[in-house]
Amino acid sequence: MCSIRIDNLFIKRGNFKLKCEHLFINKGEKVAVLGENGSGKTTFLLAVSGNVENFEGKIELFDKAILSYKEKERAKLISFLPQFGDILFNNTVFDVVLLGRYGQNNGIFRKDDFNKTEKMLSDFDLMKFKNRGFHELSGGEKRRVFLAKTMNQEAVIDILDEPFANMDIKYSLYMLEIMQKMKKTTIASLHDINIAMVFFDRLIVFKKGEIIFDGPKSSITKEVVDEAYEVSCRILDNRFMFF
Amino acid sequence: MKLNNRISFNFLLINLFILCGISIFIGVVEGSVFINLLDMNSTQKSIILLYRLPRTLEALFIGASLGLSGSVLQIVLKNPLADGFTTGVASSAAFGAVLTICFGFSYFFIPISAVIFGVLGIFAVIFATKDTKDYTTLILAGIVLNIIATSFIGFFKYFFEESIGGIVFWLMGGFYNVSYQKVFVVLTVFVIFLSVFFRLSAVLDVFTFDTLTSSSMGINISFVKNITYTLSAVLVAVSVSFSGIIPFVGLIVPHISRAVCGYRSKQNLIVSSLFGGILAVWADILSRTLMPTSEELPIGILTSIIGGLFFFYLLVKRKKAMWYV
Repeated sequence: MCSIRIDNLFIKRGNFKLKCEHLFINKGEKVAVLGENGSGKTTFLLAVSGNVENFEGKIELFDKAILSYKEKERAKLISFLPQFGDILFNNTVFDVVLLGRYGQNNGIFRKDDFNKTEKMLSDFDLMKFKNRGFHELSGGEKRRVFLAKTMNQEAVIDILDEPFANMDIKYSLYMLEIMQKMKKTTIASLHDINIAMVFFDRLIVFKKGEIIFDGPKSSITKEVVDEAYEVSCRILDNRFMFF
Repeated sequence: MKLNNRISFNFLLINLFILCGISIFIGVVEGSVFINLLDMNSTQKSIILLYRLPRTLEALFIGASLGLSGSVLQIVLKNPLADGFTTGVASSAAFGAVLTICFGFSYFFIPISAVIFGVLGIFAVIFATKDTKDYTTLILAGIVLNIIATSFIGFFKYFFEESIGGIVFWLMGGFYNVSYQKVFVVLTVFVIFLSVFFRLSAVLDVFTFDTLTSSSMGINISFVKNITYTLSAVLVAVSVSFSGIIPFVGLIVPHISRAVCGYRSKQNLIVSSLFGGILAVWADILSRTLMPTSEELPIGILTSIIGGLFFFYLLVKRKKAMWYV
């Protein structure tokens, strides 16, 4: 079954143009979106999460136009972690993660929601911050809280824009292992191609608003990576070395 | 000082209700003359029943409405300065009242006109800012509306000098025109709005996330924004139509509430209402008793002083930011 289908997509935002002719994302796929800064990763993720209103072409979510969904219906299908997530007040970490469940329960929080939030906090190693204010945490810790909140939404598809920004390597790997175990459809933009090579199945590489590679990770070549990042890399043990 | 778990919130709530009761009691017995409730003559009885009790209750519910509206407005506009005054609602409602006074309409129309103009003001702000996604612009538009409305009031005050006494009431605020009918209306309005906002409390919580996050969490941002903004503006306009402009309650009370009970909207709406009510009752008590003559001090002076000092006390004691982002 096709979760997300794109046909002849064209988006123009200021001087930036994004093109994508045909693209399907199937259930359970783990897709890494790669490319240099400004290549269109974020615009692509915003579009497939229903956050771009003006575009040409078609974006379908489970065979229905993505913009035809009400926010509440969409929240059950897609949970989106934006690049710069923030919250107004110094809510406790527990409350931030708990609020992730709004899409599932219409704002009436029951025992089940509290239990799932506790479980999510312990899965993400956040129990020690449970009653701390969100704004008292470091950048990487905040990111982890937002990731836990996004997962706590229990949507069918997770779309994550640079989920590991500011996160140290230990917790990045820890998060990746959790995400692998969840076996959900995941689309994430990443900066580290080697993380994509290990933890994701399919790579989509953007360059100047166009897709220059879309396929299983096994078929990516040194030439594609060189073109994408405008550097010269070499391959060592199935990893790309840049310097 | 921040209370997070249920038990301590209930404890806070009980204390606030007790404080509320004590404040009402003092509001009833204290005034230009002290009245012993256990030993009253018939004049004293009628002073209490016809005058002090409804007045104190009106202060309580108006203060609660202002605290409630400020609490919602600061979330909806994502701004620590948002309240009925900085959104321009209070002044445009007062302008509506002043207009009807100046053109000699009967007293029945004054509150109606206040509400209509307050709501028109809010629609003007929503219309003027409909293409912007920036929340600070809304406050800016509100402050401009406030200045325009205040200037118009100034013009009418200058032009129709004879009705100036009536105008001053709308500008400085006060609880001296009371009746049980008014108390009943104010109470009903407050209860309706509290229950509506209470039902929306989870939506308000989700709204405090950045726009992209909150819309993917399942709320329609512009719908929620317009609805809650309009509702809280109506609440402010209704309050102004009963008691004139009472500054500072809507601005300061939500900050006090967040400082003592944390950031859950559900709890904040109740605590803001209670603090707002208590602050207004005390301001009213002091306005009646502070002057050695039987004159009354304008209520706005007292809400500002009491609320402001308490706010400074909290700032110093917490040594923490009151607002993030």
